[in-house]
Amino acid sequence: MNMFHWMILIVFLFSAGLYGTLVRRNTLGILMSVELMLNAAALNFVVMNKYIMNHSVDGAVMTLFIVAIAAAEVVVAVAIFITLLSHKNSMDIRQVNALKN
Amino acid sequence: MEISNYTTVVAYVFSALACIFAFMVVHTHSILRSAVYLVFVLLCTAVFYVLLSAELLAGIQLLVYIGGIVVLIVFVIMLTNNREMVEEKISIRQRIIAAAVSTFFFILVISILHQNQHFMPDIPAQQNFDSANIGKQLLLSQNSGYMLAFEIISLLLLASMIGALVLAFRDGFVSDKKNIQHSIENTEKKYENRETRIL
Repeated sequence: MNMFHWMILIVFLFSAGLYGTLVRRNTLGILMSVELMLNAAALNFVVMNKYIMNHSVDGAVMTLFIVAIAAAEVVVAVAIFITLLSHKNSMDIRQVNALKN
Repeated sequence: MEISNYTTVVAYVFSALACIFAFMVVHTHSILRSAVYLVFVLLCTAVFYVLLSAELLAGIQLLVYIGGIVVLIVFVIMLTNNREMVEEKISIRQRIIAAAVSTFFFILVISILHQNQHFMPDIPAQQNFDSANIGKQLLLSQNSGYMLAFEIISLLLLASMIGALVLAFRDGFVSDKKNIQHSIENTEKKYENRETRIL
């Protein structure tokens, strides 16, 4: 599997995430699509590192950072969704059009 | 047959699987099914990390993504009621626009990559993704180390943890107090009623 085939795979995963982010209305569905995009970006770093960077592990370190930031993002997002659920009794993204009340 | 042939076959099979599962994640109506398909996509990604000889990242993918993030998402799905499990029908117009945007993005990036294909080597470069090398790079404070970023991300994790607790408990404590008071009053009334009945 050469690098171009890896890139096709990664761009497909990212496009699927983009489609899900645009088409979903449930906030959890959008969150899962964003996870898909982050996952594709992390894989992209490792593939680039594997094929282009000689004697270096920078891409792997970046992937570690992406995983850590994704974990932090999901924790805050889930807290916001639970607050939303208790206030509006819904997980619909269209309910979240006001910062207050 | 050589070992490299086997790994190539495994890579292509898992690429096809990952593409199918990624499509199912965004296409299925049920949110719970979507989460299960997401687990399969993340598992395929862990296999890709093993194939790229980054075993540490595969382990972290399994532990943090599947063990942490997806479990959290499934937990929230179970907290919401059944009505939210199946998403309502999305209008055809929105579907077409979203499909057009993502397909345009896909074709654009692939065509740019195809034009610059001569930058892409066929054979992987030489490096060693073992945990000692990654840890050294992560904790090096001078030239091209990532110590500052590491520290900032630890602060970010702390801040997100505190933020999540504040968001979750700001209303929770108040309503809990009210609930407890309410239940105490109810039980008191019940006992009073029973006493009067006995008397």
